[in-house]
Amino acid sequence: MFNRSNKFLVVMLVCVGVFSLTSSLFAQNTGSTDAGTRLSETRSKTFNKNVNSSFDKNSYPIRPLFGDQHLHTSWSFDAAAGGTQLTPEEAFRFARGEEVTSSTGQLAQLSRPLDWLAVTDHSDAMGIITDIIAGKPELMRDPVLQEWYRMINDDLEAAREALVELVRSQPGREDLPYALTDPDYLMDIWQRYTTIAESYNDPGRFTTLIGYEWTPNVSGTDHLHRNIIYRDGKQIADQVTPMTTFDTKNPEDLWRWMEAWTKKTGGKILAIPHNGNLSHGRMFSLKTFENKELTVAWASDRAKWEPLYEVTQTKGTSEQHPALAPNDEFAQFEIWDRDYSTQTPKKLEIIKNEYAREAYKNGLILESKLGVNPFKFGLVGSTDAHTGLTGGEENNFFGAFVNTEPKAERWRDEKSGFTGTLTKGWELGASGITGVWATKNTRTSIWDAMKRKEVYGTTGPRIILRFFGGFRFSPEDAHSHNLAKVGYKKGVPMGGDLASAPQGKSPAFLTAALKDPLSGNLDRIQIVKGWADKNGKTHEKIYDVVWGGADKRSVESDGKLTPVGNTVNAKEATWSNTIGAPELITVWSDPDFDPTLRAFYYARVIEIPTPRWTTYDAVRFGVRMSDEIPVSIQERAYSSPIWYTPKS
Amino acid sequence: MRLKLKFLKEPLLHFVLLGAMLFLLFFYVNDDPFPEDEKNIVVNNSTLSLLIETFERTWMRPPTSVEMKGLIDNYVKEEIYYREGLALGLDKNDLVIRRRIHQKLEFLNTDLVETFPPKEAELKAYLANNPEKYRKEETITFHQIYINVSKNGNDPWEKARKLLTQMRNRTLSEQELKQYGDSSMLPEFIKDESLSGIVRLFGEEFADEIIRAPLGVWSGPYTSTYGLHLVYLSEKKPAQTLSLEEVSDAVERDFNNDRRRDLNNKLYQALRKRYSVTTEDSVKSSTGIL
Repeated sequence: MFNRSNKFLVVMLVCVGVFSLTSSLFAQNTGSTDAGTRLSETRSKTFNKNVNSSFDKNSYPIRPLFGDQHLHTSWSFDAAAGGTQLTPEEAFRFARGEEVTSSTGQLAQLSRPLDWLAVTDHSDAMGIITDIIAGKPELMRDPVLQEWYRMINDDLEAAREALVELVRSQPGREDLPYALTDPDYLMDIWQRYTTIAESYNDPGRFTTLIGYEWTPNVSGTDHLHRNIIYRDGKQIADQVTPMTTFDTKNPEDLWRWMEAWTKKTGGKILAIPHNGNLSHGRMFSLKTFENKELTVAWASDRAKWEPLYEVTQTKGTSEQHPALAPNDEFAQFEIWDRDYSTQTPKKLEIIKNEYAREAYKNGLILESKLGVNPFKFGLVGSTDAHTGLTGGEENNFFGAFVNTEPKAERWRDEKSGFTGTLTKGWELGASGITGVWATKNTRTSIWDAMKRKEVYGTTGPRIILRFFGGFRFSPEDAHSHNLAKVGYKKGVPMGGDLASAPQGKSPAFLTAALKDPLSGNLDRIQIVKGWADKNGKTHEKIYDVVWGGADKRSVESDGKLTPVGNTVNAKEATWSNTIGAPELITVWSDPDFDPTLRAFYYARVIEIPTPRWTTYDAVRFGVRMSDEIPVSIQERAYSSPIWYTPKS
Repeated sequence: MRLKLKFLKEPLLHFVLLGAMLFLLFFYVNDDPFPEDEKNIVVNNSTLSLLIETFERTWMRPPTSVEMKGLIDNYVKEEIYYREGLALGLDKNDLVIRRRIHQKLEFLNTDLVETFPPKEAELKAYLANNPEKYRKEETITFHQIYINVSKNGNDPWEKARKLLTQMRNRTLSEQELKQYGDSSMLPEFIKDESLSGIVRLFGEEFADEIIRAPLGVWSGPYTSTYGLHLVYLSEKKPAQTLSLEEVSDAVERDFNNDRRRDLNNKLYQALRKRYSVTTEDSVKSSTGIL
């Protein structure tokens, strides 16, 4: 079973390991000293160490917890093939604010720590490797290893001599490395990962959520990808091996697996679909996976297991396509709408089933037919970075794959030398992040907020966004010194439901946004409304409800608010907060409300224009890029909706 | 016509054709590329139990007989493809396989870390050598009153200073404080927050100033990206070094992580000694490597 050189290598491994463990382990200088350039100039010098925030003691959430539930490391096969070297360990360290060295040898640090992170490597990679790694307790059962260990404890030098002798004299021994390779002594990479996640989970300060990505590419390239997020820790997560696409590519099977998982472990999990924009019309298809009519059971399962949807990430936004919303002047934003394999334009019929807002509208129709709305999901943002480095910061963007880590020519390189698509580096977005309205920075508190959809996604900035709906709000509530208290008392938060409007009342929405201290001022808050009329047709309308520089701007005759302007200096990659406002708060009541019709409402916050990551690159590396690349962007936050359902 | 020619220039096509030719050549020259025993796939009880075990670990139940047949069929299919692929050398220079094997070797190596848990003395020494990693940050507790620049006329600074003079001479309850200043989503009372936490809430400019504000008295106005603030700093807790008992989990984790890195470096150094690397002259001249 072993040839001589195999054997030598294994013995060598053990030797190196044992000697290293027992010598010079007190080395203080463990960090890399490689010279490198840090990208962010605004990073904070410290990260939150051993301090529990005071907000933990409140009954309702005081500030949102920012994090990313979609990040890959070298433990994902495609990331490794692309050259990623960072492991989940480094991913967690980076997210909690530490400086790490990227796969291309550059020093990387976030401008400020995240509150939580889920590392979600592809389960397929784990599936392949599941049965190859030797376990630890089993190691010690090997008599030879025990003997080594004993010798080393006795006398290091003698042990070294003995080992060298052992290796030299007994190359033919079959019992030596057996414990390292026998398939009966196997351990899962999944359990390695959960061990790391467990070791960085620090309730109250930094939460690590356990998760993985199930990545079916149906018909070659149709993305039906889902991230599975765990509420519990290692003990429960280790009980079952993650689902892979070797097991199934059908999301309905995934839901069955989740059901069985829940029964077996007593834990809780949820799935977050993403990249509907690359699903070739299948993400929000109005047929089942096998092209059959949707059923009540299908709708219930989808609503139950998939309460969230990823609306923005490096590979484009999936809120709404401009062709489906000609009146939405902000829809043309980081759109990836070419066919994934051929890079040719897609038909409108396909695009219709790829974007969240259309799904929300179709969900209302489905609910009237089936009694269940399968597309009643909240919104989150993520990076989907394959570098082990989360972030989503324009001036500190570490790319999607290793080949788009910072370098002068990355804007015109292919997205990933691995997938072989024709997408150019500049098309990647430095996006996004999720804000979670959780009362505590713990796994259960964050997961529970996700499950009740009290979350929102942004394209990167840490905008704070509140959104409450109800029938009792009055305009003065916008001036309250305790917005949250009023919001929870008089209404429901984002992700909630309103039903049966009181006679003559319209729903009103208390909505407030505070700028990211490190990013641009706010241009406006919009409320996006969608509804289904009596004939089963759907509609949408966007209301500008509050904006910065209110004395100089108004809604003009064409129904559009005066644009906020643009202060971006492309030559220096700077902007100034002389336009817009640091904070926007209002109470808005729906002027077109019909209590008999199903509707949904969500808030969209738009920042003033700031430099796009490519503009920072152009200045930093002194390169001239092609004119098709936007110089500035208006970053944004999307709340989860509040749904209105009339009494049947 | 031009399109067709372009298609013929496609490197992938060349690759596929070349591969097909090699394959045929291979069969011509050697009509039985595998020894007899390598063409026999054995499905025995241990194969079966491995398949069942793997299935159960994902699906949490044993396979049905139909599924069992599927598993065996899949196993045979996979084994045939695997053997044929290996025979063709498809594993060679495959980036995924190369990097996966690199990773497996490192895993084997670093599993030793778990096998030999660190001694308490080692952890103590590690903590002593890295106290700053486990220090509890300095924290402060304060009230802040917010003055929205766009809501306070031509001279919000003047307004803020006037308000400050008013504030200085009285002690106010939290409830009373709320009538002063403008409403905002910014928290009015911040308890035991670290500098980095204040940076996250108010930005760096404000945090740098507030940390030096006088204790037990209203002061300001301080500027932030949001506007102006008056601040009452009520408590400062200095940074603290923590004992091993308080941070043992984190110390053990970091200690083991360092051991892993160290082990992999040592493994590589040891393996590297077994190889010589020859850099051809053309490479030297084009890359400047000596």
